[in-house]
Amino acid sequence: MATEGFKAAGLEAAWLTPLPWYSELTGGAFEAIAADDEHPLDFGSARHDNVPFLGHFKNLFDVNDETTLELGQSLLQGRGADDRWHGSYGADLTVRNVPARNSNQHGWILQGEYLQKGSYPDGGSYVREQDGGYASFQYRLSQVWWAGIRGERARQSATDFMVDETGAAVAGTVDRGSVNLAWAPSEFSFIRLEYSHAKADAGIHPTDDRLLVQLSYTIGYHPAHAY
Amino acid sequence: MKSLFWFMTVLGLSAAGQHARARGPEGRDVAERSRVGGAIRRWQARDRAEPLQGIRRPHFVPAKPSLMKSIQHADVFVSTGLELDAGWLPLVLPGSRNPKIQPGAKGFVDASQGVNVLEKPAGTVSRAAGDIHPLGNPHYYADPKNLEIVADHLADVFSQLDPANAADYAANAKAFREKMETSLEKWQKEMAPYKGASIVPYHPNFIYFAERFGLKLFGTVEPKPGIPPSPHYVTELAESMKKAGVKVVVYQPYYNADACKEVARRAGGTAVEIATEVGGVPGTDDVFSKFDTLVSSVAGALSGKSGGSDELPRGHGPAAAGVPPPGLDPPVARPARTGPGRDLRGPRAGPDRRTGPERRVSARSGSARPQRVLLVLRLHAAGCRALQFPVGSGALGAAGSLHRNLVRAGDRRHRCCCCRMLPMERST
Repeated sequence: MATEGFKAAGLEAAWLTPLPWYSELTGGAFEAIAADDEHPLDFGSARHDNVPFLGHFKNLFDVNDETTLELGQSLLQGRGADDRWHGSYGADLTVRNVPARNSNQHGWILQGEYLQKGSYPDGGSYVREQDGGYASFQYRLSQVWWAGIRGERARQSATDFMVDETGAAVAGTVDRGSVNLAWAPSEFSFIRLEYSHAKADAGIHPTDDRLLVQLSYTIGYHPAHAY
Repeated sequence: MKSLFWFMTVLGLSAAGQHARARGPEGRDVAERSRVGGAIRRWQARDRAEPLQGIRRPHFVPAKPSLMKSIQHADVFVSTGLELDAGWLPLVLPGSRNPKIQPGAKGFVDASQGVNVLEKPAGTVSRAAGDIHPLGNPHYYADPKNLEIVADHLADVFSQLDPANAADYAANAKAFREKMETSLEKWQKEMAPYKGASIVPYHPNFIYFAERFGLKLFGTVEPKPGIPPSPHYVTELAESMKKAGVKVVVYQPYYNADACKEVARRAGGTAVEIATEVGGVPGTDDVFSKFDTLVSSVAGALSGKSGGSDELPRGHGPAAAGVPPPGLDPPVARPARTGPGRDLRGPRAGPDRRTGPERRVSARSGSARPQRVLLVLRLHAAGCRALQFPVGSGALGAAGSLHRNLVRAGDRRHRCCCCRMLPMERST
């Protein structure tokens, strides 16, 4: 939530708890700025006493030598442009398999995340405004080939193809499914081909089909491989 | 220091203690051995920690958060050094939140200090040459003599950190050295008939072994470090091997066995699975058994009597003079350790990396390569991180469980944890 959706300047601290497994608690406070495309999770109030705060609780377990299970919970709260308190809450799950043998030949990642955003009307309880989630599965076919599938749903959300006759954005429920194939001839580069199909219940375009080709080339020194 | 905690992954140095003994001042070798294991088990029970597992390929250890957790309270971390673990340890060490073992701290030890590093790149280093290590070839643990250097170095460091037991560390290092010398004599006798023979490893991680035992390297199955071979390259390499009479391909379990077998098949030779890291194949639980297995596998393959992964005819012979691996210029006279084969830049690179800068690539390597080099250089000059990554800051990793030799264990004051490899099934 912090690195992708909430990018305001601030201070963040992470604590590796003394629990026997890897358990990390992260907390942060940030500058309040208005929400825009680059800061979709900011709440919009620039009041000086509005200091959005974020928390993340990450737990990771070694299921066995090859497989890990990661569970995470996130929250973000702050005051919005309407002067109400708003909040975003999320949960994520990742199961990752890196085979002991031929670790660079096979392996898979099962990943899912759910996120919702809402507000607290004056004196009232939390009201959900938007929510969505995704699940994806990536499988390594060989040292250089990856394949994946992903499904996602967002409710009360707007995307670029959900517009009315005037071109104005409309909100609704959108489902998208995609398959992808990646060719990574080396550690430093890959080409990914992805096809996705989406359905929406609002706007003048009920479906949306996309073909994406992504080329990535890394330069510089050998980077560490994030798990 | 109340306790010492060594976090080490299993490489060639691993588990030396089980054989070289954590010999205490009373000389109770066997008892000390068991006490070392007991100490580990007691620590595990007390802190509910499990031995770190799953570490196989030194370049590609998954930077699991559980590794970070395991070294959260470590007092000492021993790195293999030379950026062998640059792909994962820069994440694991900071992730541990343990200031005592960060690079630059007293508790961070670079095991490679004092080792004569081979294949140090000269001139410009770029990814056009593949996944090379700017500080030199980090697989020094494939040479038994280097482990003696490491043992002495660790003994010195441990003595400084734990002066009360300095005598024990020194004695244990001495015992390790003596056993290694005896073993090395045996291995050299076994390899003596094959001096000058050529082999082809999958990855350029065999230079130290080849240097020690007088073998020549004839290219690698990888065209460049970290770059999988294309079908065309496999054909080209196999043809060159055939012409040169090179018949042995060696590969570690974590590399692509199919490519190695295919090269060997086309060359009319044999592909042999070997372990340069402790635990890489069954029966390699410590450095001595690892070298026992490694030497016998290589010698067996070169003799044509054993080893190999198929029923192809086996045998060996010195590489035919003047027949280079694919893409190489004709060999020039140079020390035997270089061999007629490749260097870290791959067989398409120039003949001698140590005497020439990057731009001395073969004329056959194509025109695209210099352009890529220039691109990288320019972007680095524009503010990207320098390629010459400083020693220590990114060079982290693994020194095996050589600490078992050096630690006076069983007194409950020393705590250690070893990353071990699980036995793995044989290649099919």
